Amino acid sequence: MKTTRTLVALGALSLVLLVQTGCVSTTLQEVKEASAGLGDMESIVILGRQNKTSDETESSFIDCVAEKTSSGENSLKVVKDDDFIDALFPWFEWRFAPKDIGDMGVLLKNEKVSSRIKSIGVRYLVWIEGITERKNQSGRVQCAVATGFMPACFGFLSWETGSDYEATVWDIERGVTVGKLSSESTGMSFVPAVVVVIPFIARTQAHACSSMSGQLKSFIGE
Amino acid sequence: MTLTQALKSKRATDAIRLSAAAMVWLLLSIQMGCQSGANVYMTTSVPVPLVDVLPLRIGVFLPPELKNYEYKEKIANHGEFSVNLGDTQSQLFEQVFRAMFADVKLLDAPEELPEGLDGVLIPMVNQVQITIPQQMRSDFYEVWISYSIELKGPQGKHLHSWSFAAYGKANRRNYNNILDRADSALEHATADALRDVAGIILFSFTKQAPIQDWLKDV
Repeated sequence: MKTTRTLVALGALSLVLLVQTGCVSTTLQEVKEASAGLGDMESIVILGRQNKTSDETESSFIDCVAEKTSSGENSLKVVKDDDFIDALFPWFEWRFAPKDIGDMGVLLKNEKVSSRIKSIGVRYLVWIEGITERKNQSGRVQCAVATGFMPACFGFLSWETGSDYEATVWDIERGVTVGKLSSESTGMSFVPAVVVVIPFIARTQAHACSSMSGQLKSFIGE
Repeated sequence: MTLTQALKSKRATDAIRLSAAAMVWLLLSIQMGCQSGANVYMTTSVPVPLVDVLPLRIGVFLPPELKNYEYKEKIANHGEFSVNLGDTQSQLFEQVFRAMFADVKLLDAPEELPEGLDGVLIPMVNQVQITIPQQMRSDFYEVWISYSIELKGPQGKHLHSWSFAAYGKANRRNYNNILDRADSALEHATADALRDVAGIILFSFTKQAPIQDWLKDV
């Protein structure tokens, strides 16, 4: 009975510690090429850049930046990416989407496309590229079912995580690139295990998301 | 041992048995999630395309093989994968052709030639290929669908057969649930490929030289 209670207590402790995070450091950069500002009836759309050959930005990151940019202090009106892409189908499918502001200018000469964008009310397009990667993993944690069917783990595991994202902002109305923002978060995660597993996870993607949405708010909202 | 102690001891034993059963279930589920492949029945639809309409009257025949197309593949050590394109084919081609042409008539047979048609289109699936992340050491489930579209003239004469391949992919990192990750990701990749099919037809069909010749004649 005492052993059971101890294990339950250790389990609870590990759950509490689960929310503990490893150290994360974030570097932000921005290059502004033109002034920006958003009218009351105007909105932005945040899209992930996709192509056939390279990695694509996780949809969870795009959703996170959109959610954080559209909520809290100085929030901006954000149109959902899927709604925008469906409303303009097939012009923003990965194969046909404009690659630069020049392509966008050509696309806007299509009356159907420009009037649809106007009716949605989107003024700025934000293209996000980048991914979160895990590297330099070392160590090992081994788990086994001990006597009495109780699971137990031993070992130490660590890895480095890097979340490197870049956003390019296009002003559709003026046909110019307003600028670029980047957020680079790195962090070390480690998982010691003595009977129970106690993970310390560096949430670099969450940090990069918060930083980028904050940057977007000040960059576009002004 | 008192009755209270006996009850407490029984509860503790039950809790341990329950924990052990839960762990066995979890391990079995993970094992199944890793090895049992995926079954996808497509029900997604493509949005209404935003394109200019050609002032033509077209007949479209959708062969039963197209409407019931199912792809199956056994991938060594990873289970059986199946993608049933099923009903999405009818919706896809109807949606695309109705957006492209002013009048579209669905035909019951390829030989059927109602009065006043400018041409007949018959789409077919040639081939489907899938890859899973474990095969390519990447994060992506990928789907390629190769189609051909036959164009017949107003009198039923074969004018051109156009082949193309569409591609879709889904990042496994977007799916957190290990138990249905393969199904969800493969479904997403297939839906992506079907949207690509629509886009390729909408943008490239009329750029084919024989199609342009036909457009000049009708």
